[in-house]
Order: sequence, then structure tokens, then C-alpha cells
Amino acid sequence: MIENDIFKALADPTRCAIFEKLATGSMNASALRDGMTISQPAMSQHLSVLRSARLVREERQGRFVNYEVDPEGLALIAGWLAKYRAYWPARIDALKALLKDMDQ
Amino acid sequence: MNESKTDDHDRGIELEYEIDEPPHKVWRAISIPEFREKWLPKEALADPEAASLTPGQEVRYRMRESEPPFLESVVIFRITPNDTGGTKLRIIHQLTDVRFDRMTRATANNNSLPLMLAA
Repeated sequence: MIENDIFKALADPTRCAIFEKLATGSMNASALRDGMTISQPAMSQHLSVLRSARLVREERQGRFVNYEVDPEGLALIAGWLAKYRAYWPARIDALKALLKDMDQ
Repeated sequence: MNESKTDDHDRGIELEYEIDEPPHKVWRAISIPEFREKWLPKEALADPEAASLTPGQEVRYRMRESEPPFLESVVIFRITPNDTGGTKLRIIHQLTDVRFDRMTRATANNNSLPLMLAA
């Protein structure tokens, strides 16, 4: 299931951070590593997982490779799912609070 | 009052909750606008009126995100009595946005993500 791939990909805090960093604009792997304590092979591995989940795509320009959030891909759905998976439990808490206040 | 099950389906989210209150009361809370507004504010909805309704059993609302990308979806609340006099509430929330349909069609066409075909 694609959604599971997406959540697996984003379940890792480092990958989640990488994804969020790319959401601000495309960059290459070394720019991505700036400010993160992560080795180059580890970064490649994370990017590979993000790519197979279709969250991120790579763009080659000559000998340089840039990474960016895949705009046509499933990032949109990933964002939607993540939002509402957190949303409904909060709504249900509010529903339960309302039920306590209702008469019968 | 426990969440008993969580599933992700092809195009959305399914959640199931056990609620201690009886079904008729839960039904009022999810179907009467004044009550619905207290836990599910109209800002989350594309239309504050129910899109469809089966009295005592199921109500459906069209939803729209209040911020970009404003994806549209439908949420179904389905209630059934449970064994202890309480209510089983099932939430089925599915993306209906045309952009999502386009994406799954494109995916189906290039066949690289066969798991999305079921959507």
C-alpha cells in the first residue's frame, strides 16, 4: 500500500526532517546535509527511501543532482493523510466532551 | 472509550471508536448542526449541511481544507450499537479531489504503482 510506504518513509525523524527541508525548495545532497549530523551514505539511503515512496524526486543537471519534493507525486496525499490522522482523534475527543455535556 | 482499529485505505482513512454513550445520543451529536458544530466546526466542511443521511445510522459530509491545497474529501460517520449499550462509531474519510483522481489515473497509466489501481 502506497500510504504505508509514505508513512514508513516519514516515520523516521531524520527522513521527515529531510522531507521538510526539501519542501522549502530543491537542493543537492550536500546542501541537505548542512546543519544535520548525518553521513553522506546515510543521506543517500534516506533519499532513496523518500524517492521510492514518491515523496521526493531527483533532477540531474550535468554532474549535479538536485532533490525536490515530487510535485506530481504522492506528497499531496501524504500531507493530507498525515493531517487528518492527527485531526480525527482530536475531533473525537471533542465529540466525547460534547456527549458528556448533552442531556440524554 | 477506546480506539479499536485504525486502517488506511486506498484513498483515505478509516477509524473505529467505541463510545460509552448510546447510539441515539451519538446520532444527535453527529447529525444536528448545532451539536455537530461543537466538535466538527463548519470551517472544516465544504457544506455545513449533510451530503446524505440515513437516520440513526449514517451521515456524510463534504469536507474541504481551509488552507492550500484545499483538497476536497467526503467523510462518512456510521454508527452501530455495541454489546455494552454504547456505540461503535466508524469514520470513513476519503479523498474525492479531482487532483487525486488525476494522480491515480496517471499512476494507472504508467503502471509503475500497481498498488494504487484499487483506488
